[in-house]
Amino acid sequence: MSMVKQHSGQAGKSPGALDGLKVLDLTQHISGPYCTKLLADYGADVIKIEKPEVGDIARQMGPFPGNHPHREKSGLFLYLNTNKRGMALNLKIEKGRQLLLHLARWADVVVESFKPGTMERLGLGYSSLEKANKKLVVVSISNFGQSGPYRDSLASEIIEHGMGGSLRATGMPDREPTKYGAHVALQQAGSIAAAAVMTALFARERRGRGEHVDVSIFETQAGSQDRRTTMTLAAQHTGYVFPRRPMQFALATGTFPCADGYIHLSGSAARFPYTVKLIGREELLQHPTFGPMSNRSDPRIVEEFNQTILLPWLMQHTMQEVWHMAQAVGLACGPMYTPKDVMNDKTFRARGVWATVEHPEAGTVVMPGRPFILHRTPWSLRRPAPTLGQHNKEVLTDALRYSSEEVARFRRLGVI
Amino acid sequence: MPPATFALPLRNVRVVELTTVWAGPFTSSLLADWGAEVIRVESTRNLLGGRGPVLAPNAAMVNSLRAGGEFYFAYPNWEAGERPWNRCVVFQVHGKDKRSVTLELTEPEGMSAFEDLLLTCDMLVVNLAPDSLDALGLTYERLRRVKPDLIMVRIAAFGHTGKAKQARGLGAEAEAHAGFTALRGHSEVDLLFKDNVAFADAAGSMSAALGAISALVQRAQDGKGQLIDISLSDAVVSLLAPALLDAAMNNRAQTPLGNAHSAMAPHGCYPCKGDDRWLFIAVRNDGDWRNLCEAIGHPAWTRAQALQSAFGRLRNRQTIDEHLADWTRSHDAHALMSLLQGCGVPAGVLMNERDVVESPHIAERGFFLPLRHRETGSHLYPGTFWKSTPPVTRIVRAPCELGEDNDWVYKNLLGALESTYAGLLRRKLVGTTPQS
Repeated sequence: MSMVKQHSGQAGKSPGALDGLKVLDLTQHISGPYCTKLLADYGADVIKIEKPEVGDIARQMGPFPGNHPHREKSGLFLYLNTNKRGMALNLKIEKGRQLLLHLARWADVVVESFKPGTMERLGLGYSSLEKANKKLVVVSISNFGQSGPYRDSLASEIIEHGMGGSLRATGMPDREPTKYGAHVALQQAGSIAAAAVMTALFARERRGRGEHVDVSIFETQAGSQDRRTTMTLAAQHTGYVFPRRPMQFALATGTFPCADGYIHLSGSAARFPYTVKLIGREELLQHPTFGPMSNRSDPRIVEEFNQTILLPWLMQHTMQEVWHMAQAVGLACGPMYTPKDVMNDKTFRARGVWATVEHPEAGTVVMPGRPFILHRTPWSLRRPAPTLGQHNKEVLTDALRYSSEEVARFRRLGVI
Repeated sequence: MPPATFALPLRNVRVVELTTVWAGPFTSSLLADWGAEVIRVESTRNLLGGRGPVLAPNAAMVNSLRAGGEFYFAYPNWEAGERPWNRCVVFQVHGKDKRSVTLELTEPEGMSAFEDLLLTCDMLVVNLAPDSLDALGLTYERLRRVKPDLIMVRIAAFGHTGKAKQARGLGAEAEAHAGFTALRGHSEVDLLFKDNVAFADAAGSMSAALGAISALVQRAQDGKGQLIDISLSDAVVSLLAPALLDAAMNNRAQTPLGNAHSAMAPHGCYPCKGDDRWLFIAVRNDGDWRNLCEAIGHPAWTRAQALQSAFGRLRNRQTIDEHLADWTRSHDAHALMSLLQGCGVPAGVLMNERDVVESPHIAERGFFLPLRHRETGSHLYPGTFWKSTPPVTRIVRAPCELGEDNDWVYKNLLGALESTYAGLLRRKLVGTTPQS
């Protein structure tokens, strides 16, 4: 069965998993663009539609090289829009909406992240798009989904993150709960939306038609498969809602200082033999206090071991030393990195985590590349993020077969 | 007329999982949510962590939660029961829509059954420590000789290439390595007090599931499988890109901002009436600010000239936060959320585990699925991440009991003779009860 039309990739390059897939991207900010970035990075032809003159709001968000804001230099935008073609299209005028419907006929997938109801108001709701292209997969990403009492509520990341229930697990109990760093929750929602696109495409082959997928960022948080869903079920099992509480220290488990920074260990009572091997104190397995398994969960004994035996040893070793020695004995361990450490880490470098992008305005930008390795159909960087309206003419002439004169007229009319 | 409902997208896809906590079983649980038939391979000799931290928890462990302990021991009604491995929450949360078969990979009969099982499936999901998997001989290079079009999803904290390819780690170690831990929380002061949130497992399992479908899409075109290498720490790096780009572009090592935002103020978490009740407020622009002032009745402090611009509000965020907290403290969080939303200010309540399940919004959208399990009773389980139109038909199986599908797998799927199967049972190479 043919999922998407194949076209030959560049000579000598492996095909991307999604080569030939055509995506019309009406999203802005973070979640939607991250969704379509994932599709573009694995081979899809993504056409990003932006508002003329203004563009995606992410263009106004940092980091910027040298901290100088510039529409074409936002690190966030450059990261979230790799491998896409860009078109500035005015959806406020009739001709713009007509062109969009043309593109919807060209596309396999439309992803949008407007406020619920906006697409319908523009005459581009699912029923219109479906009429234009029965096989179209339409994915809508919004704060609270396309239905329900909160549908029209306003939000930003911290609100969805906190309402989704995770923030109770962070921060200290005597202070307010805190969010995670960067925009991880919004990007997480984007990767979930990308999975929605892929499953809908997979199903399309069998069904012979597309569907409308409704992704609520709030639900991506409430259902996030970290400790949140587990705690949700645990609270139902026991009828007990966990209070926020001080961090519990287990045996050789948690973050500890070492000679040049901090290190994270998961030693635990059961894995104590690995811990003592790491610190060269295997005789402690026979120790009257630390030897018996039942003692190793006693908070006072945990504290005694962590403070008087483990910590002095850690303080004599660097982060890298501890990590390498832990690898040798099979103990779960990881260095506590700052963003700079991450950029310099040899493991990430050896795995080829970074991509170098040459951008006409922003210059050379180093950024995270592929989130996972598909060995046969790898991630590839084919083009940097588009400048605003960069591919107006290319898209209209190639994808929609308009003449250069017509394109010039669209420009005069303010359509593009 | 379009059909009223569809079958699930991954119907006809069969997945075998060989996993331990967390990212592995969560990857296959996502695939199960999307319609794949997931068969969980387990060992009665060495029951892995996916069915709870211990086989026979004592009373102290079962009650440890109330003493400030971890939630792993949250058994229904505070009773571990006769088969805790079927009841424990860390299993229940990912076990729905899966089948369970037991076999012993260290025995020739077990390995042979495993390979036969692979032949009937499309995909293998594994997250055992890289060295353990290699020791069992379960490498992609070998398994593709068994099944040439196999899609194998291999998950590890630091991936399967590079300097740390044999390193062990859980989500927490991957989060530390990727810079996630250092960037969350109030400030460096509490670096030592960051509880394990297992976020890398959520990020890694979504990467893994996405990679898995991409490989299925590709295989549908050319008939070939492939190896998918998932590193939890790579997955987190991708989600932290803006902070890492700041290091790359400006050589700046960001530190935790707490709830502050680089461009919005006020932006934070404010105390409300009641125990551990909080409201989040995010003022995105001048319009939101004017709406907020209106909502709280224009008290004198809001009229300061400095606060009328985003720049001024960012410079004075602490003062604003103190005033706002004084106002929110005496109000009910839900009432404030309604008030502020009504005035056009983004605001939302902090939800605890009960609030999330009972949220009228989530209930109306039907995110949680009611399920009845023979050993734990009826509860609401997290459902699919999105809603489809036309809708899909879904009949959900309760989380599988250990070895529940042994008969079906050995007899129907693998076509074992009655006498062979009886021999495996007699020799305890197949069973429904842990042996240690």
